[in-house]
Amino acid sequence: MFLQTKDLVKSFGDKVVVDHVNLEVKEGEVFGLLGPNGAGKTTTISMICGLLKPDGGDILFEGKSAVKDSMFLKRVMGVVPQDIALYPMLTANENLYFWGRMYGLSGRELDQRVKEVLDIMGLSDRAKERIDKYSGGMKRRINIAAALMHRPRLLIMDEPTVGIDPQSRNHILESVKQFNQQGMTIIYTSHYMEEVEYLCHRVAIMDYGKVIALGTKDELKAMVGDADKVIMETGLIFDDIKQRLSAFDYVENIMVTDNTVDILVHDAKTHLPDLISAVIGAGGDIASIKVEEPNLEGVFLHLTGRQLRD
Amino acid sequence: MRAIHMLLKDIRIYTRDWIALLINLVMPIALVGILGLSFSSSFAELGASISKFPVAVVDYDKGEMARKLVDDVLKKDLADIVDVEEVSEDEAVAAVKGETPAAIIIPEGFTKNINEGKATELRVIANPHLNISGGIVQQAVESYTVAISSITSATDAIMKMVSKEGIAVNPQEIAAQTAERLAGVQGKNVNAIAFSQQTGGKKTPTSMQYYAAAMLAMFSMFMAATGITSMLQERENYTLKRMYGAGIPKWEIMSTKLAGTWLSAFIEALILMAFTAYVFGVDWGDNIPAVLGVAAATVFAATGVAMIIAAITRTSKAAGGLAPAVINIMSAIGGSMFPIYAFSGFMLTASKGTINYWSLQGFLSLMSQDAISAIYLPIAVLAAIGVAGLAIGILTLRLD
Repeated sequence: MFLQTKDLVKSFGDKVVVDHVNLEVKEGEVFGLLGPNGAGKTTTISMICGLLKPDGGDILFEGKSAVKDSMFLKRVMGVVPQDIALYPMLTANENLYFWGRMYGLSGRELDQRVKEVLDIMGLSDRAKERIDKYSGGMKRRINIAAALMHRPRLLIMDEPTVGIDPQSRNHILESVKQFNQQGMTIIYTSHYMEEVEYLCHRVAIMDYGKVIALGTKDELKAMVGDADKVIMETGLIFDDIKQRLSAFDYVENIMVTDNTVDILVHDAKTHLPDLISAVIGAGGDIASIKVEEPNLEGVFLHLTGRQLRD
Repeated sequence: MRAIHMLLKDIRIYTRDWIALLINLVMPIALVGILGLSFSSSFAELGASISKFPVAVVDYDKGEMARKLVDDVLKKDLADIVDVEEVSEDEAVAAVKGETPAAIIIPEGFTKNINEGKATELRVIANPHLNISGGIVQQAVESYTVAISSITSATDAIMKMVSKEGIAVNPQEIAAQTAERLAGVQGKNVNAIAFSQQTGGKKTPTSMQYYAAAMLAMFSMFMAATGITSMLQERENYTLKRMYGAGIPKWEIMSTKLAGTWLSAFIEALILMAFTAYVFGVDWGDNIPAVLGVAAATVFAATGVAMIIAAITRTSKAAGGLAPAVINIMSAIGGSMFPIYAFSGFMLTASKGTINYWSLQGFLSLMSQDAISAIYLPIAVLAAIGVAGLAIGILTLRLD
């Protein structure tokens, strides 16, 4: 196995943040870690990167423990942290040269690699500008570029698209696909279901420090069967909406938040009129209705009764 | 090699921060000019005082101990710098309002009190406009008072011992003999204390020289604080995590930061010394290696103190708030703002707890062409402050 975590445990005080997490990442795949904020994704990643010492369990890279000595793993691993880990007073070029040198590159190899990663991230023409003059999306792209300098075999990306514009987001997602096609193994954490669904071959869903589901996208979606998600936006929500909807045997799960009702339902097209009648009958004023086919968001709702972004 | 690149990166970042550059390089030069010129009259007074300045003495006691103070200490040991005028109290008060820097009032019963082991007090009236000369007199009197206390304590101890053993002695004779010996020794100390701070060497430092040294001490601390604060910024910017992720150990990061901080503060000190020497004509002394030694020790102590500030505050913002407060207080107490010549009593004692005081002692000794041995103690104290600061900082600063 390329990378494996065995019964990984981490606590902060009395709070268990990572609770016996077992993951297996195969070489050449994009492995997704999906879960809401506070699920334990970043802590798990920090332990794999050697930034946090686990309280229990082990991390094996190609069969060798990285808990006892993480240096060999650090040499072949690139980390894209959730936060922008760059020097704002330096230019993109200067940042990349610096991080390249920190990874042991020098001379012509370093010059060439700086050019390459700037090209990959589409920022060659802005290379001489200081990072503090960059937009959020551009900073994120250089943040990724810095992790690519030493051509890592394993790239760990922790929420790399948080708070950026759609153009930069698309660029990052396409770049990740490209890295993977070139043979790079990637661990991608996010709470954006669409990103994980788009990029990842296999996905582990985490909640409250535990892996609650693991498999390919199809395997995970199969957990909710053919249940579609019906999202109704209503002006008013009355207490008995949930009760009325639960009465239907084809309704699998209901979640009510603010002015939205999410219903996991089998064969939504057939049963939609009944659902609408039930909501209106309960005094609900329907503003919009959306029907989604099974996705990872639905899997999470099915498993936890909550939404990913709660 | 990796450490050099980390160092160069820090220097590059620092040189892009124009405000920090302005504070750390232009400010000390400007302050040397402003303070040097502003205080030139005070230092001129000091220069004149070395030749001689008048001291009014009112002797209500007329006893043996009073005469020792007047004849042995003031007229003999301090003969080179003071001109004693024995006057009435009214004349003394009037003199102090004029050109006389200080008057000493010896109370009635001064000798008797000493001989009987009782507490006694000498009063000094200082001229507020001539505080440097007044400070010298104040120090001389305080030193003599310490000697008197020693006499009183020694006499008391001997009397208790002999009465316990049942030996018949004349207490006045013992007190007189003890006083004679201690006063002789203390008279030399008075001279040494008063003189060691003013004219230990052959020359008296000018105000420009004084403030060049004073600003070097003060701004070495600012520079060191800037350097150490960058260590906290690395943590806040997550670049520290990225370094750990790249397999760079904590000790390498920390030692590079400390070396970089020391080096940049030392370079700043060199720039300040070169600039003040060429532009203001400041003579830092003939012994260049010794001057560099004092500068290196000053910067080392400043790095140590900055490390403690970083460990206490834990965030760059808090460090940025605390560091100037600590530096300004140390500078005010330690002589970087007001001449330490003017200090006496508690302030003089307190100043010895600062980097500024010891740095000034070192530089002023070299500027006044004192013996090279005069810088050994300042360098040792500064090195001790540096070692203690680094030890406390390294042990308590969390860089995780």
